[in-house]
Amino acid sequence: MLERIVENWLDSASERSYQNVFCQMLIAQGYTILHNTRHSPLEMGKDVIARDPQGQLVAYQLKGNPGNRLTLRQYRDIQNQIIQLVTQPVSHPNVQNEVHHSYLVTNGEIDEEAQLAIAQQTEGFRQSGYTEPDVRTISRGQMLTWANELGQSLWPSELSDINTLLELLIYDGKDFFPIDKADSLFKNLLNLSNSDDITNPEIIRRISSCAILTGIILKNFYKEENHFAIFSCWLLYYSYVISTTEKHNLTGRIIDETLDISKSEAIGSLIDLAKEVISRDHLVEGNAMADTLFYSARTTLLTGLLSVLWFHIEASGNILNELKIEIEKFIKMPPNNHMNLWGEGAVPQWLAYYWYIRRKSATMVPDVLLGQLLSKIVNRNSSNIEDDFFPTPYYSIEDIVGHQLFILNGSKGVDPLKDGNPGLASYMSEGLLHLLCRSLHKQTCKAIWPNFTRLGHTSFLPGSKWEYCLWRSESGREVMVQPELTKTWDQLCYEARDATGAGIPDRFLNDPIMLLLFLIVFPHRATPSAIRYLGYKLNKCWFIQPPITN
Amino acid sequence: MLPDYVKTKSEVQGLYNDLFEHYLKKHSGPISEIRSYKVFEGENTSIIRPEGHEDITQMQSASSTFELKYDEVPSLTLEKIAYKLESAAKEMADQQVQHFYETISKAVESAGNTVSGGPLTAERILEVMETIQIDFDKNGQATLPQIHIGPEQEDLLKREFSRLETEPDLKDRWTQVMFQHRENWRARENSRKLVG
Repeated sequence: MLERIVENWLDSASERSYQNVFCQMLIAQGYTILHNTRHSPLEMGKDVIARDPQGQLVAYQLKGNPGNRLTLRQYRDIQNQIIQLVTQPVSHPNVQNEVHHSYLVTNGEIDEEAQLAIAQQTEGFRQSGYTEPDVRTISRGQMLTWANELGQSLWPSELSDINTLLELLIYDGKDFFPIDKADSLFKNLLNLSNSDDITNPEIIRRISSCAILTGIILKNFYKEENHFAIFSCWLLYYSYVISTTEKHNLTGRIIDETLDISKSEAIGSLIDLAKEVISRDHLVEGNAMADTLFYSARTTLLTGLLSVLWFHIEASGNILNELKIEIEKFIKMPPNNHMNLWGEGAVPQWLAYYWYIRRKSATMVPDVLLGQLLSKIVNRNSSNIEDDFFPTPYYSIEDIVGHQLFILNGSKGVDPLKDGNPGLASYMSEGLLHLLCRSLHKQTCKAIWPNFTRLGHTSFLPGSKWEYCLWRSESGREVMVQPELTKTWDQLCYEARDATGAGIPDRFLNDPIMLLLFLIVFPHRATPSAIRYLGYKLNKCWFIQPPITN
Repeated sequence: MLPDYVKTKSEVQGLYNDLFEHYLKKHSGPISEIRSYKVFEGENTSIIRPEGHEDITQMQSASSTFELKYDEVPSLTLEKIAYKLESAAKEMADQQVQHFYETISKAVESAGNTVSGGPLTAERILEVMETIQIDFDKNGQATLPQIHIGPEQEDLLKREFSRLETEPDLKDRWTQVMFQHRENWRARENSRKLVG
C-alpha cells in the first residue's frame, strides 16, 4: 500500500512540489547539492546543480508531467532550455571551468517521439563538438524506484502510523497544516519517541526518508498553493531533523545539506506567500462571512511572517530586492489597525514585527509598542477574572474562536479553552520585560512591575535539549517562577543581559531567522531565554551593560 | 462487522462524558471549585518561590474502572449507565481528593506552616489565621481562606466560629489578627517596586 501511496504522489506532483524531494533523494545517494533554484532566476536551464558521489558535476532541469507523458510538442517548447542546460557552463562559486553532465528530469514518462528528439539533439551537440553532449533523462520509473528505496521502505509500518499517513494524504489542503498529526509520524520515523537501537547511518537514511515523506504528505497543500501550510510542514521537518541530530550527536555534509534544502523550501514558501499577499487587494480568504472572526489574526500572522522574511532578504544580499521593497510597503508603522493580540500565542508574531520596525525606525515608537504589549498581557492576566485572560501559547486563534462559539451555543459541545485559564500566570511577560529593560525604558518597567509581580512566570523546560524542537515533549517540567516583590533595576538589568540562549540547540542558535520562524509556529517554545537571545541577535539597540553570551 | 451508527453514538458518548464530569465534580467536594488547568507536556510541574526554593509536583494518574458486559447491553437503561458512571466518577474523585490533600499537607509541612495537636477550638482557629497570608481586594475586603474539615466536625466548627463573634476577648483578638493581616497586605503591596 505504501508503494501505491508513493506512486499516487508522483503521479500528481507538480514540478515545484517534487523538486525538494528530488534533491533529498540525490542527497541520500551521496550527491552534494550546490544549487537549487526556487526563487532565483533560472540558472541558464539548470534547476538543480550537484556533484555526484565521485565528484562529477551534474546539472538537472526539472519538468512536471504528473500522471502524463512528456510529449514531442512539450519537448520542442523547452528545447531552448535544453540547449542552455547542455551548452552553457555552470556558473557557481564552487565550480571552475568544469564540464558537467546534463539531465532532463520528469515525473511522467517520455513519449517515444520525444525520446527520439532527445537522441537527435544529443547527436547534434556531439557533432558540434561539445565535450558532454548527452542529454540524459530521469523519468517516472527511476523516480519511483528511488522514492521507494529511499523513502517508503524506511517508513514506519505500524498501523497507527499508516492511518495517520492516510489522514494526512486526504487532509483538506486549504486548512492549516496539522502539526499534531505529523508529530507522531515524524517522531516514530526519526526514532524520537522511542529508544530503539539504531545506527547513525540508519538514522541518516531515515532523515532522507522523512524528507520524502514530507513532500508526499504535502500533496494536497501544494495543490491548493497553501503556502503557509507548506512552510509550516517544512519547518516542522527542519526542527525535527535538528532534534534528531541533537539527540544522536550527528554532524556532517548530509545533515547540513538536508537542513539547507528544507530551509530553502520553507523560505521559498514564505516568498510565495509574500508575493501573493502583495498582489492582493484584500486579505480575506475562503468563506468571507465567517472570515471576520479570523481576519485580524491572519493580518497579524502575515505581518509577523513578512517581517521575518524581510530580515532573511536583508541578510541574503540584493537578491529579491524588489520583494523587500514591497514588504516594506505592506508592513506599517504604527501597526495596521487590523493587527490583534489574540493570545500569548501571537506574541512571537508581534515580536517579529517589533524587531522589524525597530530596525527601520530610530524613534521610540517601537519600544512604546513593546511596552503596550507587555502592559496588556500583565494587566489582563493579573486581574484574575475567570473568563478574561490571554490564553497561553498552547492555544491557537481557532481555540479562542471555538470557545466563543461554545458560549454562544449555550455551552453545548466541546469548549477548546476548557481548563485553559492558568490563573495568575504568563508565559511571555518575563521575556518582554527583559527586552524593554535593554531599551532602558525604566519608567515603563517600574509602572508595569507591581502587576508583573502578581503573575507566576511560566515556561516549559524539556528534559533534554533535543526535545526543545518537538511539538510536545514527554519529559520535562513546566516551571512557574514567582518573582520577588521588590527588585532593583540593576538586578533586572543583569537578568536582561542574558543572551546565552540556554536550552536551545546550537543549530537554531546559529540561525536566528529560522529560530524566530520556529517560534511563530511553535509559540509555546518562546521561553524567556529564546526571546532574550533573539532580541540580542535582531535588535541592535542595547543600552545596558553588555550581553552575557556564555 | 455488523451495521453501526458511529457518528450519532459518538455524540451520545459525548453526553456520557459530560455526565461523568458532572459526577466527578459532585464527588470532589470543595476541591471541584478550584480552577483546573491543562498541562500539555512533561512529567511534572514546579513553582520556584521568590526566595529561590523550588516545589516540585509530580503528576499523579487518577483512573477508575467502568465495567460493561456484552450481555448487559440489551437491557442497559440510562439510569443504569448513570449509576455506573457515578460509581466510576466517585472512585476517581476519591483519588484526586486524596492526592490533593496529600500534596497540600506536604507543602505546608515543608514550609513549616502547620499547627498540629489538640481539639478544634476558636483559639486554635485564631492560631492558624495568624500563620497564613491573607490578601485584600481594592475595596478592602479580605479574601478569606476556605476551611476544609470532615463533615463530622461541621457543627463544632460553626460553634467555635460563633465564639469568635460573641466572646469579647476572642472578638478583639480576631480584629487584631485581621488588622495585622491588612497591614501586612499593605506592606506587601507597597513592596511591589522596581527600585533604583
